[in-house]
Formats: sequence, structure tokens, C-alpha cells
Amino acid sequence: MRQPKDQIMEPVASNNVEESINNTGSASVLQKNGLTRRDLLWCAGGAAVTLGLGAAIKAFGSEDVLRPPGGQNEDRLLALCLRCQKCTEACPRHAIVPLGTESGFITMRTPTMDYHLGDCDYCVEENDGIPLCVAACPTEALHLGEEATRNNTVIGEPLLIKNWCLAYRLTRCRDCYDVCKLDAIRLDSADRPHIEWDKCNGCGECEHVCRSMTAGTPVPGATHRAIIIVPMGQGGEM
Amino acid sequence: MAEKTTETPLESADAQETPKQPKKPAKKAAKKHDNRSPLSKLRSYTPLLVVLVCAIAFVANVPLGNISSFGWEAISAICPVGSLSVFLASKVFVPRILISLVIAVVLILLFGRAFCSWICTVPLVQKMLNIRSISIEDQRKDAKMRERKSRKKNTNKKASTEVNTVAEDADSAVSVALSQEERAEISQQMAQVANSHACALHSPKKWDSRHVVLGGSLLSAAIFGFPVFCLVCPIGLSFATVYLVLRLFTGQVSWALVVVPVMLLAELLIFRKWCYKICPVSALMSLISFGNKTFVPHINKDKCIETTKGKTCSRCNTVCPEGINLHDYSAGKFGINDCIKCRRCVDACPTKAITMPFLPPKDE
Repeated sequence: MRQPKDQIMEPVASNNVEESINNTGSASVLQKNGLTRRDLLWCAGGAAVTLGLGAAIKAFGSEDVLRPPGGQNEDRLLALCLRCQKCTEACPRHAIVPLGTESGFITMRTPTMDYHLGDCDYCVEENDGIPLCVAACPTEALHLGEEATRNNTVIGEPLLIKNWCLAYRLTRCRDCYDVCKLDAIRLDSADRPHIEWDKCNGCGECEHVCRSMTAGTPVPGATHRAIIIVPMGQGGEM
Repeated sequence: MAEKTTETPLESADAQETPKQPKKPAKKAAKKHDNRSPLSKLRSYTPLLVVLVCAIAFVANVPLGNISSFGWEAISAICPVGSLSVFLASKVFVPRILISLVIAVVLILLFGRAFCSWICTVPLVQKMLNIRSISIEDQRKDAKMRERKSRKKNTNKKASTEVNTVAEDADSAVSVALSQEERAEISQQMAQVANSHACALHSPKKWDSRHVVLGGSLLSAAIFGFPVFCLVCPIGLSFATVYLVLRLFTGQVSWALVVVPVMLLAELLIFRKWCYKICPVSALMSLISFGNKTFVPHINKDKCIETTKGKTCSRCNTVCPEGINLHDYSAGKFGINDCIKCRRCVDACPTKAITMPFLPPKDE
């Protein structure tokens, strides 16, 4: 590697000497861009890696994930998100967390909802119904239209696993029903929860308060709380 | 101008308190340990300070962001590469991105590439990884090549010994563990270069591989619809690491805590010349910096020993991590637009002939 480099460097150097003599020492604007063969290799590598990286990450793909309010257009979010994590900082209820590698490389460090520490009330209490994450986003990757409200911005939908739910063991636990501000949960005659699908906006309050898994699980093998919010199309009662 | 504001009050205060006689030896002793000016000392702490501020903001739930977008709501200084990438990827016009881009461009026009030495976290990580300042290695290689080239010529011994002594008490900021022999070798070669004045191995390149990476990233973002470089940017990754560690305290553990630091370390360890060969942020800033006319290092020709006494020194050139030749921009490895305002030349100059005034002096 070193031998040929020397051979290339020699003529470049002599050119410069000639030029600088011709220009009597002053900086010449039109001086030739003296790239060596090694420099060109770096250039070619740089171009190949940046383009290849884009293609590879895109081809690897990603799974559907929950997004903070205003991030429901996935293509827009992936294009505009700088991965700066300002929304995570802004969320007063700690409900926004950056994604790891679980759902694909392209979504890494983009925001998702995690209702374990808090729920999303659209910042009604904290900021008069203007979500602070949307306000903080420097590139409007999280962006709400003028007609967007808490009720018509749907983050995700609930998945209720009856077998894991304390109420379905007739314990009369009704925490999710009590906490739901949108009346999206109704109780049947035995105080068991059912979901009102057209009312739910995926705010995660029910998941946040669900006692299953937090106060011991009724079923061995349960992996998460009995009611959780999942991306659109994956919800249900089962 | 910046120098005046920091140094004169200190010195005058000293002079008032103590008579001049006992002050001198104390000052000399201090100089042996660290001969950097207060501003240069501050520079080695500012990136850490930025990380600290961002970490506190993260814990305190203040959406201040980090250096990929630092600011409040619509008013922030977004990384110019990031803002261009997301604009090309989304093809959507977002007013606050334009505002942020304008802010970033104004800052770069005002301070040049000062970001690279004052704020960027990558040199901090490199320092932790003990990655040697690559410019020194480059300069050694260059020196060796110059040696081969001019081996036939018998060089002036007087000049070489002179530079030797200058190199002896070399600037602590740049003096990486170079052995005495290596140091002597460099200085000898430097002397040879100085002798044959026009002998410049590199002319400053108008563009290099960093600019190709910049172009490739932007093109890739436009084609694939997401800011490709932002996903692997070591600046973003270093802040992501800090955030992940902080999130551990709230009990949130994820595989990202392994993946993110590993990516960061791999990038910087494999590409040890990251800042000089790859970083598209520095590429974009160096392009914008062609318009930077403030805080440009300036040599007072009445003080410089090269111009006044005709002696060989080139110490400002040797300590410059960007290989800029302040005497003749066209003879440097990089042009003056790549100046990172690190003030190493200001500190290194034996006659204090170099200053970084706000505006270039009108005389000369």
C-alpha cells in the first residue's frame, strides 16, 4: 500500500511546487484538487457505504409500533425524525420511550409509547390539550392537523386477554373501567370489562393501572398486563 | 478580541495584588505544567459541559434536546446535516426546520467549524478510547516522505537543531506520547520543509471523502426516505448512550444499551480518522465556512520570528490538528475554512504573534 502511494504523491507534490512558484506564493483558487489514490478509495467507500446502508436498513424493514400523538403517519415520522429524543424529554408522564432494536433498525431511537410509567392524556392537564411532545419536536415529525383532537387521534387499540384478567376471575377488579376517561370500557353484569371499540383512542390509561402482572398474575406464563395497547389491527378480546 | 477580554483582566488583577518580582518564577513553574491559555483550558471541558447540561435536562424533563437539535420548540439549532437529510427524505416543507437551518448557518458563518473542537462529543469519546490525534500521525508520515524526497540534499544542520529545541517544549494539548526520537524526526523534517519553502506535499483540497459521504448520505436519504446518516451518527449515538444509562435508573432496560455503545465504539475504533475522512457534519461546515471571516487566526507579522528574523519555526503549522498553514493557506493540508478555532496555534506561538480577533485587522 505504501509503495504505490509514494509514487502517486511525487507528481502531485511537484505540481504544487510548480503552481505555487507560478502563482508567486498567493493562494490560487483554481488549484487542482490534489486527491491521492487512497483518498479516492475513501470517497468510493463513503459513497458505497452510505447508499448501501440506506438500502440495507430499508430492506430490513420494521414492525408496526405505537407512536406518540401526531406520529401516526409512519412514513412521515421515519422521514422527519432526527432521533433527538426531545419528545421523550418533553413527556410529563414518561410515556414516550425511544425504541431499541426490537422492531427493526430503521425505527431505532424513534419514539414509541410505553404505558408502564404513565399514560397519554394528550397533555390536557399539563398543557391544555396541546401535547408537549408535538410542541417539542424540532422537525414536526410529530405533527397534528388543526382538526386533531384527543378523541380522533388514535394511538393504538386495546388487546384484552381475558384469561389473564382479574375481573374474569370474578374478583370484581374494575380499575380500567374506573380510570377510562372516554368510556371505552363497559362492564357486563358480572363486572367483567368489555371494550367499546369506537370510543377508544389508545391513551393507555387502562394498561397503566392494570393490576395483572403488577400485583401478581393470576396465570403462570402471562407475559404482560391483561389489557395493553397495541398497534392498529392487532387488538381484540381473547 | 476574544483574547483581550479573557486575559487582560486576569493579568491586571495579578499585577495589582503582587509586585512584579516574585510573580515571575511562579508563572514560569505553572507554564511548565500547562502553557495553555484559560480559553484553551476551557475548551477541553466544554463538550463535557454540554453533555452534562443535556443529561440534566433529560432527567429534569426539560425538552432542551441535545446537539442534534438544541433549543426550545420551534427555535433550535438543528444539526445542518440532519435538517437537510430530513428535508430530502420527507420532501415536506417544514417552517421550523428552515428556521433552525438558518440559525445553524448563521452560527457556522460566525464561528466556522468551532463546533468540532468546542462542542462535539466525538473527540471526547476518542480521548476516552485513547485514539491518537490523527493529524500527528499524518504529519509524521508526511515528514517521512519529505525525508525520502530530500534525502539527497544535505540539509542545514543549524536550522534543524533550532526547530528541535522548539519542539522540545511542545504544546501539551497535542503532544501525544511521542518518543524523543520521533519528535526529533518530525522537527528535522519540519526544518527541511521550511528550508525549501514552496515544498508542500498537500495543497488544501476543495473537497475530500467527507464531502462524498455527505453527498452520499443526502442522496441516500432522498432515495430511501429516512435520514440515513442520523441513524449511525456518532454524535447522536453518544447522546443516546447517555440517555440509555440515565433510563436505567427508572428501570428501563433494553438491548439498545448494548447495541448503541457498540455501534459508537466500532465506528470510532475502525475508522480512527472519522473526523478527517468521514464526518459529513464537518464537511458541510467546512463548505459553509468558506464564508467565515470572524475569529480567523491572524499572524502579527511584526512579531512572528519567521517574518521578522527569517528563522524557521512553523510551530503554528505543526500543532494545527487540521494541518492548516497560516503563513500560506495554499500550502496547508486543509484550507483555512477547515479551521476548528481550537486556539492551539495561538498557544503554541513562541512570540505570541497569533491572535484570533473577531474581525480581521484592516492593516497589512
